[in-house]
Amino acid sequence: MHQDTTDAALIRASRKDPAAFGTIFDRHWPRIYRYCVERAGPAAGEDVAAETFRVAFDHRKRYDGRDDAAPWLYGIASNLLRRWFRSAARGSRAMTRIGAEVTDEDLDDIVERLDAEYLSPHLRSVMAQLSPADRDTLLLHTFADLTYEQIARATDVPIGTVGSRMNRARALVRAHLETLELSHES
Amino acid sequence: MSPDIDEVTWVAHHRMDVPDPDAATTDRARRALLDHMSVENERPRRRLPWLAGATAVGAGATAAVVLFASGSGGGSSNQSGASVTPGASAELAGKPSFVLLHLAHRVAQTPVLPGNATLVKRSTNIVAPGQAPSSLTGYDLYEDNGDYYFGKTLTSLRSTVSDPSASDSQDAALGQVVAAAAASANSTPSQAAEKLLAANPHPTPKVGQGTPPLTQAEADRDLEGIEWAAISSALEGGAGQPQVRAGAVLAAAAMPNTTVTSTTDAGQPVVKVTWTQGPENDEVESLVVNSQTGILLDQYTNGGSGGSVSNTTYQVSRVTAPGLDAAH
Repeated sequence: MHQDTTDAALIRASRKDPAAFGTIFDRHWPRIYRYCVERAGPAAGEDVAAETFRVAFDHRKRYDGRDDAAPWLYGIASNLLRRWFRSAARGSRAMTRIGAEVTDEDLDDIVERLDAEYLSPHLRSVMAQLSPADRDTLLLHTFADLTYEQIARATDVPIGTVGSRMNRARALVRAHLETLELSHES
Repeated sequence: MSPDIDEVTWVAHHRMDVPDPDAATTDRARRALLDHMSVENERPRRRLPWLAGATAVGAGATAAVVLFASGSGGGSSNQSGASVTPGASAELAGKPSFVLLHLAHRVAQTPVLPGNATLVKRSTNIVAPGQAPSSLTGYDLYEDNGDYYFGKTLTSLRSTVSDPSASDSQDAALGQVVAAAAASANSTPSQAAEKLLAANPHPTPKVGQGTPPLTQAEADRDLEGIEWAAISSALEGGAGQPQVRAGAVLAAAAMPNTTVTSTTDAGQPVVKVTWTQGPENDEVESLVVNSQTGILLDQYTNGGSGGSVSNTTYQVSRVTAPGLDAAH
């Protein structure tokens, strides 16, 4: 029965029968896992992916009722990833420099470095230049294969905002490619 | 690559190749979710969850496993027709930390490393008000047969190990806590916490005991302290044994008044568990474990206003006694 049932119907059923949520896990776990590992590395990525389903389960009563739950899950994963990068940045400074004062700007720098750390070397520098929102948008599109509409659902912003973010991200990537080309020529 | 390529294609082209999760990884995540689902109807309660619902948690978790054990794919009709036993989970008092549940499942799958003993180097820094900071370093050797040795230096430890007549015997109470943690590796958080509490050597604090008589809140706090110490001891004494670490992590998942943070330590993913001793007491203690192995890395204590602050760093390795050669 579950094979033909939409995500929305399963999530609705899981309000009374929590076990129904198991099929949501089985359907979406591999792709959410891959996305989180691509973003945060194998160790933290696995934890964030698992946590995504825990959060989704706890918030299933607020699910928007669309047939496909993938954008919703990617949205939760993106929030958790951002929280993890921030927590990791705070933790790394707290553990290495107990009591040292670090400004919010320093923290943001560490967060951006961590956020790009597990990407391939080609992507690392350009991704570190993007704002967190633009980076999430670009990576949800390229890594998770979400459409603009799905990204809008995942990130809870209007589709026009997704378009603007994609334009900014693409412009920065284009500038990076031009720089690469110039350095190769010289 | 040509700059003429579309930017999105260029980014996609440089993605890391991440394989699908393997069966063990999927199983860990599924089990952690199941454990969480089995207690989903419960409101977290501040007081001592392990005393109220150990049996109930087990029943709830087992029911959920039966319903959701088919692995990937569409599932069977059993999944849609039944529900988690409401009576069982309704008795549960607390909601275990999901991060620690997931970690415990991972640790329980970790193989025991070669060797016949675990060597733990402990380095402690203490800062106390009005005193110069002090540092202590020592080596603990926990042999798999239960023998325990200590040396201030590796050389003195080797000397002690090679002369059994001069050896310490492992504290029997520690041995019981370690054994209780090992026996808890595949149980539920509340069961693990209860076993560790039962194995601890301290008498259970009771309301009305002592002068002035203990209040309920004080007795609860004392009991939390005993549980915390047992978890810490198990992580130290069983540092080389995955089943012990898994049991200790499970027990920590049931601890009230704790916060659990996934973070990094020198670029290494870790999980930090912090126990706050209560609203009227600003003392805080933390345990930091490796997020893959559950091995204890750091322990922090902050005695609050006017108290001392300490940080103990642990370096754990498997060795072969009596020579203490690295085993891997």
